[in-house]
Amino acid sequence: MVGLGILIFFVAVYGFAFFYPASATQLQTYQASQGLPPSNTSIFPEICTYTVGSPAPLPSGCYPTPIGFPSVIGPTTAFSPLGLGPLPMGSLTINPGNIQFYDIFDGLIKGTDWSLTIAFGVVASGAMIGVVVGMVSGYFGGVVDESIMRLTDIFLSIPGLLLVIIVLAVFAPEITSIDTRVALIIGAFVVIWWPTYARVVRGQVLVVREQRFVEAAKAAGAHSGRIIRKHIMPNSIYPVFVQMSLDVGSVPLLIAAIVFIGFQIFPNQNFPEWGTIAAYSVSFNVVQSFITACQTASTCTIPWWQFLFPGLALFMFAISVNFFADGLRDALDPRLRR
Amino acid sequence: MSAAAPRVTTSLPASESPLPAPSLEGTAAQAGATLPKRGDVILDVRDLCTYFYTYDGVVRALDGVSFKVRRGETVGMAGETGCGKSVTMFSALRLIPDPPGRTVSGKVLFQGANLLWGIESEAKMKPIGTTGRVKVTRKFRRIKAANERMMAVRGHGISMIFQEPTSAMNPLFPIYDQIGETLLLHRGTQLLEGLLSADPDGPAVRPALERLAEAVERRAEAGEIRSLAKAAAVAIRCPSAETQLYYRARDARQNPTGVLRQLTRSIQRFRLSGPQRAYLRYQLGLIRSQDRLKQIYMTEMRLGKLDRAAKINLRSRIRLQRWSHFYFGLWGIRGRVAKPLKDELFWQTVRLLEGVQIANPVQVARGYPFELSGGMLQRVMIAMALSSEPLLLMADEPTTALDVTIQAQILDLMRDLKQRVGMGILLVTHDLAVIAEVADRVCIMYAGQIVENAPVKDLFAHPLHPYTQGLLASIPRMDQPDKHLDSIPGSVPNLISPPSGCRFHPRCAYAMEICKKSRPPMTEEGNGHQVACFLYHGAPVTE
Repeated sequence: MVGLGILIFFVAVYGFAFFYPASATQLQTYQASQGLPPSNTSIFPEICTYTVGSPAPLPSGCYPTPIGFPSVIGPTTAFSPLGLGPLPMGSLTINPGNIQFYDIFDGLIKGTDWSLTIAFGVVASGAMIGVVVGMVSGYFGGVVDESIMRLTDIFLSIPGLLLVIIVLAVFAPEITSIDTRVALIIGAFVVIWWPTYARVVRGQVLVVREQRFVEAAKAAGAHSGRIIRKHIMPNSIYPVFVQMSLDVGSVPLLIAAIVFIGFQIFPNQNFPEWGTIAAYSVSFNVVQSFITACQTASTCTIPWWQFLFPGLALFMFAISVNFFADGLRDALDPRLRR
Repeated sequence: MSAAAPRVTTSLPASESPLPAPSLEGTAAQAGATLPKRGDVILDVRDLCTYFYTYDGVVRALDGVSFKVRRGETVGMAGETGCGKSVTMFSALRLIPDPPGRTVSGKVLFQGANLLWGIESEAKMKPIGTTGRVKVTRKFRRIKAANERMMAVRGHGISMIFQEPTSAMNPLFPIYDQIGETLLLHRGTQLLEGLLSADPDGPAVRPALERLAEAVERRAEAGEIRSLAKAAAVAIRCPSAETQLYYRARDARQNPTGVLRQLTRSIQRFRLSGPQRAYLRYQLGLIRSQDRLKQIYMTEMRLGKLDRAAKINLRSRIRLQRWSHFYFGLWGIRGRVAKPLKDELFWQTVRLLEGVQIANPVQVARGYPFELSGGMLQRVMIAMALSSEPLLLMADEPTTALDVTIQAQILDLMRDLKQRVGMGILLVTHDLAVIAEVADRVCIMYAGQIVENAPVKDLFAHPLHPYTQGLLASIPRMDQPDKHLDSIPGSVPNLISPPSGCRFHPRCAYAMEICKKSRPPMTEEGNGHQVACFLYHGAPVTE
């Protein structure tokens, strides 16, 4: 199961590379319609780096790079020309106006970085907070339990999407560093994410602490710290794995939703993050500009790669994490080990 | 009964049983008391009252329960469901969940130390108007302190066996892990000292191993291998080497090549490296301070006086040691340096499992609780309860979940161990046959009170209390197949509003006027036979 999860993950990111380029004619038509120079279509596409904000590891310029390694030297932020989203595979080139842009493959590879950072960051910190809070609340009960659970209810009652948007609207304009900005996004998501885990863990602890072996441990002279660590936590942690595996896939989806309704939570519209790429390509402005382009140009192509491949990557990613968590659970639980 | 139960092959004569013919010096010294002799009272419960405060009202689950358990004596407790048998046991160890339960008065003296000391003032309840409801105060700091004091007793002096062995063990950890934990907690000092003083390079070790290897090569009997392994363990000066060498040698008997080398390698674990030795010493320090703290707690409970000065440094030291243990774990060095201790705990577990007559203790020790049958697990539970060499064993319906042959084996085992170890046993069950089989003394409970307390033979020969007579009459008997099976009319009363006077009077055939008015006192009817009933007119029992 774990292996299957990892396999699907790599298929999600790299497997579609073969399908990325539209046909050569389509690509050329697209480039001509957008006023772009024809691209380098060799198997060593040139990767261009630029210095935006922080210094890049290599001087600006273009380097031939084998497929699969573009993000190693690629820039972390990229723009597409004309504000039209990522270009089809193989259309990387230099824009003399010193603007960066990326093709869909490059965008997906870079997107792996950001999407995973945000998804795992949100889920891991949310779970960590939730597990501690839920454990304390469930084990000690009484007043502690009541107050913690009411606090959890308050957090649960906040509409998550709105909170994230407000937090970013209030704090983000002053933030220029991309890392700080992503940290803020993670933080905003964690605020709405931890109560779920707290509730899951508390429910589980309430079941486990009534079990005979906890009573037996008490009768054998164990102190409460030991009981929590050795008996209650290992027995109540598995639902958290399941919950985490479900949530990891839904974080990029939520980001996509926010981007889709038009809020710019990343520094620019074409920030290479799966959800953003997918949502941006079908958002109102972009669709309208394509309609305009189609009216003027003799032929035009709907940029289907912009939403299809990030969407597939998201889908496969969510599935792979699910398989991975399932396998991990089976491997860790001795009752299922055979 | 024991004839029906096939004895397992590795069972040994009692004299050379692997269960350490436990001298109780260790425990008694840890508990800070002089060693109680056989026949001394170890548990003295006086006038115990435990109430549960529910929305419907106060459930008077225990109302003035008094009894004694002596060393080397088995006291059985019997009665219908809901009579407070288990509550008595849990109250004595203060394991009643609070809320809703609360032991409101009485004393539980374990070796003279009052386990309920320090929370008597907690038991004060204020009635709310005339509603019959009460307000219960809970001072958490005091309850917490009292709970911490109980660590000196729980598992250490009093062990417990639970009703369903399958649910009484953590399913996520192997057996040796769980028994090893209690072993280290309660017998860590002896164990670590033994490990530190072991000498695998002593002059007598090599010849002893050679003799053992030679016996293996000529495929000697198991008994001979056992005694040679024992001799080798004596030479190594660590008793747990005996089981290890024995099982290693027994396995090698199938294919006796390079036996000596295998045996030598198996005692490699006693050659401690510097860090390992340091780790063991450090663990020893931690356990010694914990033992010292337990001693102080026992003294506090015995004298009824806090000893703050003695505890201050000790508790901060223990906290520091626990934290540093945690950091060792974080650095990832604990795994390697703790290996000898882990091995030692494993082989000590195997020794204990042998003591409860498990046929393949090595495999069982490695197994998980859900891989074992109920009878096996009950033995494991008994081994775990006995691992701390307690003075008193409390068994809460230990045979209820088991089939009859296993029941017989378990009861045999408990009787055996009682004679060998010399502890007291408090046995709760609703099966009078079990009581007749193992108990020396019986307490019959009804609706939260003890109605009759008598030596087992007396009780079965002349039951005095009408309730006891009813209980005995309702046992089906093989020798009187035509006899109509009696039952006691009615059922156990609701303990929120128990009947006035004698609680049994609504169901009693001999009920008189006085029974409705006042509670009968416990009277002595000769030969230690005590009964609480107005039909008898013996001298009232005093403490």
